[in-house]
Amino acid sequence: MEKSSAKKQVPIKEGMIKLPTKPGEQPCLLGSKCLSCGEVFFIRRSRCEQCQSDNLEHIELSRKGKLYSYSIMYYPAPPPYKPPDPFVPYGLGWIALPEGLAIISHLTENDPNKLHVGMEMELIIDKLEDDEAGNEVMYYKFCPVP
Amino acid sequence: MKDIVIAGVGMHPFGRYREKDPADIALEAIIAALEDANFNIKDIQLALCGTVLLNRPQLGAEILQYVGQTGIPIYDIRAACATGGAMLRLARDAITSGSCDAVLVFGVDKHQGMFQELGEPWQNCLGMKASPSAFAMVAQRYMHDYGATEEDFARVAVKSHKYGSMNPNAMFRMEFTIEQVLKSPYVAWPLHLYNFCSPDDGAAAVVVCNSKVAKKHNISQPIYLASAVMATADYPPSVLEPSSAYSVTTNKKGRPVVVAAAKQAYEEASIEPKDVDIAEVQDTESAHELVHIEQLSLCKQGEAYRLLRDGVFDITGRLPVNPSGGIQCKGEPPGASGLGQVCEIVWQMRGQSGPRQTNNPKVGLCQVFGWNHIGGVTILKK
Repeated sequence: MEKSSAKKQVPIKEGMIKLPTKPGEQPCLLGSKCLSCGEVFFIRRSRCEQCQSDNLEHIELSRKGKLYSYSIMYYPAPPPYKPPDPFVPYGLGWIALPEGLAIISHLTENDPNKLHVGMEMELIIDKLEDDEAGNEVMYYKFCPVP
Repeated sequence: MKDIVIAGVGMHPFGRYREKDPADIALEAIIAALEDANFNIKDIQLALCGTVLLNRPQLGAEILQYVGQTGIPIYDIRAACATGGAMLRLARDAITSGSCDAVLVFGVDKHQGMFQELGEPWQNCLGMKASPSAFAMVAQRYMHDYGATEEDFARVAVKSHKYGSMNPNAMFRMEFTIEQVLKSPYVAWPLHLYNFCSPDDGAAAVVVCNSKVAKKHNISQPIYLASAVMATADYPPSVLEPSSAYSVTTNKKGRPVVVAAAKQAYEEASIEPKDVDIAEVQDTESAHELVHIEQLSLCKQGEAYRLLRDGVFDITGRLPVNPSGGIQCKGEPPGASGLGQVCEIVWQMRGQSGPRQTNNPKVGLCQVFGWNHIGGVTILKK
């Protein structure tokens, strides 16, 4: 038997997450910066939404940002989302990053009384599930900075 | 300006008609609109069929077989919840260009299930783009920016259900108290179940023609289509506007698409926001009724919830909003809901709205918003 630690980790979408390749390395979210107009996007892309240039460079995004807005889902979204059994309400929010963009994310907190606009949030990379090839599918979420 | 006339309107009541074929639902609305206009299908040169959720190929052509086969072109149109507004723009352009005298516009849908999951596949796996949460995050920010409360959103639902209870075309015809709304379960905090529109089935139809044809058909109370605008976002989009976006710039402030569509619609109709006497706005949930009133410049930013408290948007108020009960009461078959607004405003302007009749409105506005930044604003004049 292979050890479970030998499982390969893959991001839920290509070009989204830089996973650690050696111990001590921090994962982060990936993006692109347009070299023509300076606009920054989450998840690597090949074309600028603002000026349509294809001259973009890959960048790593900050691991910390500020909560811009949030909601708590009290009912599970429909498939393909697989809710936990029993279902637990989950937080969603927009996180404003210092690079000048907001990204939508799961939140680790599901109590609206413990969330507020402008609070500092930090990136967490977590496992969603194992895929059919036995890889660990990884996604991102943000948690309040204590 | 070439005058374009709403010659007739018709609705199949919105509700749950699970056993009824959508073609039959649409047919009832179409016949009602043609009869209301005193038109025959032979008077029509173009038809548009709006549907969002019925995966039935060539639905418009199929329905037209039952209305009457006259050889005219028909197109199926999809623009999410803004489908009605989008079709009216096309109808207006077709008449303005002179290529036809009269257009039949209809929308029909059967909307089953509770939520729509509207993102990319990976977002949907994470449950990140279920429609209620996208709208709820706008509501949360509205509370934060302007001081509105859950009670204010509940007050919208109370107003809507008061008028919905008087509307035979509405699915929900019961009144609620603020306490009942606040005690209904959260769907997506800060919004409760009774704040939301409900998916359902229905159809609506509108006959649009030029003034020459309207005269020929002796339209006794002509309502004019002063403008009909459909718009998508100009970059950058507004940060929280519901869409499948996973990142939005915060370097520049984006303009909500309804703001853009409204500006153009007011210009084309040669009116100012203050001239509007009555409005039907997209109330996907209670918070967006207020957000959209503000985006339409019908009041100042952050002011709508206070005006609501003062009764300004009641049927007896200065600017009645959603006298039909909105889609919070009618439910939302998205292909038909925009035209349903037009039916309501036409009936109100003709004085045909029975117990929910408002005080002689002369300028009416209909507004729809569709997922992925689609805005539609239609202005009607007496």
